[in-house]
Amino acid sequence: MDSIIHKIEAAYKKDDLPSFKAGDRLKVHLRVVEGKNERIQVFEGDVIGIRGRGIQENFTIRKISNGVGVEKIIPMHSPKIDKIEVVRCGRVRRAKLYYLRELSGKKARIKEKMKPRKN
Amino acid sequence: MKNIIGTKLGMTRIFDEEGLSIPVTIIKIDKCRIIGKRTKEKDSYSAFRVGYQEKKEKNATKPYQGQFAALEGNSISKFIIEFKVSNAEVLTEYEVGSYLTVDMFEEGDYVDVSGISRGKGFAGVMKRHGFAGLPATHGHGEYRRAPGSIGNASTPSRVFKGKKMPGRYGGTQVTIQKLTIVKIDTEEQLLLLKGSIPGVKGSSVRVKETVKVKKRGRNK
Repeated sequence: MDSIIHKIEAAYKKDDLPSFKAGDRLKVHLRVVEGKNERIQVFEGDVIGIRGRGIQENFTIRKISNGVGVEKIIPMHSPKIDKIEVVRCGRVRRAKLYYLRELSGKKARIKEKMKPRKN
Repeated sequence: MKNIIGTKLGMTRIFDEEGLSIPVTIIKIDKCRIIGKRTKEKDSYSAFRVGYQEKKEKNATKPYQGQFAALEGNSISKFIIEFKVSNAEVLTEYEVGSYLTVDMFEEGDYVDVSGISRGKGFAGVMKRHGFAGLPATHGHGEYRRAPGSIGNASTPSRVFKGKKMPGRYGGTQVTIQKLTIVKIDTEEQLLLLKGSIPGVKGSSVRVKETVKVKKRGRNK
């Protein structure tokens, strides 16, 4: 029963995603349709959480844009993602970084991991 | 006749060509076979008798086995139901012994799905009938999910029949109308419908052409 569901999901899953965790800074290249044209928009921010399993998996990415915090929840296997680049790995001690929403300025920084993970 | 029995396998999500996520329920058709016909002359109505899935001969009673005696292969269905048809001409569409497949549907079709909903046991009025409950504060103490008053006093001195009260909820036939067929897999005999359907995983459901507006908009 589940094997059939897995088979259907497999057709929509991506296998070329880089591995990343909460605290990492990513550049997500998103396909944006404007009228008839399609262009790539890059959203750069910190991953503050990953949730879900399999095809349901999605991540929350946060950045400060003109002094305002902006978050996007992006399905991991969405066809709207063109590419994901890992800019740097952060050193954090929890899986969900929701506490960053309360912080601003220097306090909201994430330390960089000195030994980056091997992908 | 667009009418078939299937097994609910579960739900997942798929992405369409625009990149939008669609929640889908997967239904598998597992040996849905025409085992006989009811005719106007003999039975005063027209219907297909349809068997679904298979079970071992030793698990069926002799009278039940007898219903399949005339069929090729002598395989015994788990259960039999009837698909009523409006006129006798439809009866010629399928031969006795032939299998119903997902090919009768097209992607973009609208269907109605009937199944037995999950049993919820003895449920209160908030869950069963959608009552609002009582205020959380202003002295209500631990009395928050109750129905409140169930009628007047000396007139009529009784509670009306059919008054919505707590009781058994779920485990009854429920039909969800006008679900879109997102995808069809003829190899595995799968239907992918947008949205949820009644019943637990593994339960049998009946899929038929919608009685609501047929085929409009999407793909057509």
